[in-house]
Amino acid sequence: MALVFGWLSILGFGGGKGIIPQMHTDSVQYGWTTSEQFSQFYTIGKLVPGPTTIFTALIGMQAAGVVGAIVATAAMFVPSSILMMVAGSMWKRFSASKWKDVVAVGLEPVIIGLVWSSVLTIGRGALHAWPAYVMAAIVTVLMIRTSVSAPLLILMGAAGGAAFLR
Amino acid sequence: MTQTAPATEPAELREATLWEIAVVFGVIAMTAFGGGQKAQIRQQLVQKKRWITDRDFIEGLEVAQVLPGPNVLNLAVFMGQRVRGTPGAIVAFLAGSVPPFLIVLAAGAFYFSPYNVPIVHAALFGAAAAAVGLTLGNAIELTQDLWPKWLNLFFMVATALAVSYFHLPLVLTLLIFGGMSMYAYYREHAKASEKT
Repeated sequence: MALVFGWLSILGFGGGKGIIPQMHTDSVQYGWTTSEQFSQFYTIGKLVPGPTTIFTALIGMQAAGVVGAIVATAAMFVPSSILMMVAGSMWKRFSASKWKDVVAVGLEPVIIGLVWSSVLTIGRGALHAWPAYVMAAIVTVLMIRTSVSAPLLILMGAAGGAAFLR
Repeated sequence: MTQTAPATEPAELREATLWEIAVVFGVIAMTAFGGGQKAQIRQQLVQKKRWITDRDFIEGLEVAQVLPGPNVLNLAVFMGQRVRGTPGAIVAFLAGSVPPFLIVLAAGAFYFSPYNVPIVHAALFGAAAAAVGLTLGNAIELTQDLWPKWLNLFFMVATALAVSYFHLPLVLTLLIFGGMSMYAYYREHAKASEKT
């Protein structure tokens, strides 16, 4: 598990937005979570403060208790942070290079493609009844058209779920 | 990048104690929901705490966004290192990751407890539906940023198809499509600078 999440940590370009599909594949393949659990853990990650990928802790917890949570979280955050430290110590040189733009702007379309894949990944584990589709559509519109915060939209979804998804 | 006007430069930078670093990034971690707090963090660190000049902050933010890992956590590590070296970076890392970890652990304790009764389970499914909506909204907004450059859209669609329908592993996705997309950007960029 440390290796899987450590690897994902290093591949977590774009703030970690792009790793969701691979994380799902790994978690389900190794039998750590079901698709449904993965979607729910991801949701909790979006609800709580801090980076969304903190939900790695829940995958670890499901697979191996509190120790699993600690190992998974450390594996997810330590490697990328060490990279950041190394880059930070030579940051003058690093920030001067035009490679920064090549990676930041050049990689963007692929990261966004991965976000679209994440929608399908999370949707597969989360949408099982037509009210769920309706709620997802409403939240999509609210997110784009209004400035309601993400945690609030998730709590609204929870209320809707308690009412319509029983 | 952040669109706000540049912050006024402080007369001189202040020193930071490890404790201050822990408090500042602990608070940032606990108030940052899904990013988007960068303007606030900038104001806090550049104007209130005077730990870094605005120019250095922007550069640090760019590096934090380019490298893998959560942007806010990367930024915390960068700042911690800038103001107090390696110990500062470690303290900032812990402050930025341990509090959210404990909260998610508490959420997990509840999730795996007998209190996870059917109505809670139904609520969680509703919440997950909302999370799908959020992610879809995010995808749409990000796609609007790419519009209307067809090559970018091509790479985006190709990536999504390869990952979702052909289960291309992430590392290959980044190497193949990421490589092509970055090369395309690089070439365009190089051409543009040749003309000038």
